[in-house]
Amino acid sequence: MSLTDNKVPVTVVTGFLGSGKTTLVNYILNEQHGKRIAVIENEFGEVGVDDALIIDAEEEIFEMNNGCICCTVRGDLIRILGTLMKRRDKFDYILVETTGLADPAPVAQTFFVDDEIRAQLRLDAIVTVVDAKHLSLHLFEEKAEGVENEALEQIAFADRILVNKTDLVTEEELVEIEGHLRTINASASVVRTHMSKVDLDWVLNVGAFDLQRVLEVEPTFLEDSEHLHDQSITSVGIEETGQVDVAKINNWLGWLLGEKGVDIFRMKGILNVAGSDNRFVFQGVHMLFDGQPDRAWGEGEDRVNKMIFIGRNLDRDEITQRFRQCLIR
Amino acid sequence: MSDSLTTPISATEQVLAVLPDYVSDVDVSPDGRHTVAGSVSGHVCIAGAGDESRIIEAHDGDVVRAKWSPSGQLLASCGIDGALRIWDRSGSMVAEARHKGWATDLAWRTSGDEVAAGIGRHVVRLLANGMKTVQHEELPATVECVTWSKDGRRLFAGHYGGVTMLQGSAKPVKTFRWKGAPLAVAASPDGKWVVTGNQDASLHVWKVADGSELQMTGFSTKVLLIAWSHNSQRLANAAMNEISEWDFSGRGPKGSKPIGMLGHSERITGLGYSPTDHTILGSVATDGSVCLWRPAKSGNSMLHSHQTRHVLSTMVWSPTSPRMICGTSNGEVVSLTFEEKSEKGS
Repeated sequence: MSLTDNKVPVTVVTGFLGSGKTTLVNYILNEQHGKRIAVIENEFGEVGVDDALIIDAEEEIFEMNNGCICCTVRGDLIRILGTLMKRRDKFDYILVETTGLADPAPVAQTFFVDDEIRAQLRLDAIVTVVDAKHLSLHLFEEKAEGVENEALEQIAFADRILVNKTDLVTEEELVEIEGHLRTINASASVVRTHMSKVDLDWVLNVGAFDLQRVLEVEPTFLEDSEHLHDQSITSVGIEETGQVDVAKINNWLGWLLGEKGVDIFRMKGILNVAGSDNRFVFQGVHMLFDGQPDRAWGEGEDRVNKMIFIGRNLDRDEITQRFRQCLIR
Repeated sequence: MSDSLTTPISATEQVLAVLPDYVSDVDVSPDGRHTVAGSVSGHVCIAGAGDESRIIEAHDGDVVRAKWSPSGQLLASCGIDGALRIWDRSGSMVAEARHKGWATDLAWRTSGDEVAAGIGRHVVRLLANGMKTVQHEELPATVECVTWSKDGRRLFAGHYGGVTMLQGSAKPVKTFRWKGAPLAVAASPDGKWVVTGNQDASLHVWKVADGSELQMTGFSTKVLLIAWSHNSQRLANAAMNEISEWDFSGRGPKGSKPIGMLGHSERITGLGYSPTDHTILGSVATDGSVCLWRPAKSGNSMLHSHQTRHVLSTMVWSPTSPRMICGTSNGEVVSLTFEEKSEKGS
């Protein structure tokens, strides 16, 4: 996915009920004068701006079994986006607002799996709005075995996180919240907002799924961060110099996607592959992987392998050790 | 002009009508004289032989399907406004049914003036006199496609989770379960098979009698187009720019390899066997190409190819002559008439 083509960008807005998602969507619609924006919303919101097209959709999850890759997609989105793209007056931008309890994975995966959507639309970024006042409640909520904590997943999937309702908490609480957020998701950018007011350039046309922009945001790797007591979702960062062996790294990626794909929400990385003067960039959502050779390494540029994995029950040592075995000694 | 084509062939293009936007569906009346087209602009266009075309504001939002009734006296349309409407040839509405959700597909029953549409999770049935016949129960997921058996006894609705067979009662007769998302459904004319083209780049086939199933996988993209030959011996499907034809004669296609046909360079948007020469398969694509095929196990299957300047969005054959009606992404309704080239030249 590249920003230079004519694909219409799609931003996915997630966040718990009451966090300020709809406020953000309304804010974007009001600020983006003259742009034709379509909003697909999944819960009865109060999105309303005269010149925007608002489509109410009912979330419909399809499990897809495509050869060795299993994933879920949003059937309703495929239908709606497919229809929108037939119109001559295409939209400049599409916003998808999920329900507060939505798992972002099926939404993101839809843009990888459906060929028609992939050809015409570009998933730009996942923006998550969190309620500063109630976030801790959601994070520490005890869930029964096998039940997902959607608040955590929405944070884990995010490229941009708005810590909203900052007026309701103290500075100390905000610092603590930001610490929690970085432990879960080290690669997302975080901003404090009031009434979801945010610089639109910061949430729109981010290019978070653009391979050319992989790791543009320098992840903050917290080596020994305090863990939330029920903290099963974390970020694992790898930063290693040296060249990787092509065959070994392919095996490693195969192992990672096959064994850990279910648990990995997002991944991004740059590799220094032996025998190539170009960076190899990749990104993925669960088992769906997208990678390609990128620009040449710069003169004097440190050829460092950099990766980040955000997921559930990730064993940092295991992933790192196995990666090191791919390095050419 | 003969009904059967042999090479060399020439094609004559004619624009029949222009709609405001992308043509989502086209159909030709059984007598071959009237064309109907639906557009994402919400308009339906009726173009008669020789007459001026008539454009009606049929739906609030995209028209999804527009089809002539078997008698050719009526036409039905459905749209994302959740409405199913029956119109007469002059463009007056004669009946209407609505349901919550988007309409995704409609099909006329071969006998009688009854139409069925998938709207949201419901199959809605409507008679030309405005009567809703059977109120079917809600299905487990959004209905993506509907089709009748040729004898008009059975109705098949494809939805995530399989194909549900409906008859005269509210409760489904049977569901052919399968964990996948059908996008197109077609029953073989002999009533023996029901086939779906699917989101996961496969075809799923059920034998109606015993529910035994087959799956064909490995297509490059989702399968939106499937077509049966009139004698139920052959089934064609398109995925991206590739056509496959499966042999359903004898014991069926199990274990057999399809005939592959490559002629288009972009997505195929229309596919069907010619009603006037059953050996010919026609296809159109977004690159503007139109192909006629005579599928052959060995050698070249392509009979003719023609390049238009249009982004073709859909296609239907005329039931009475070697003529195709195509829709374009710009709203044109284009007719393509095929003729044998005179050997002598002119």
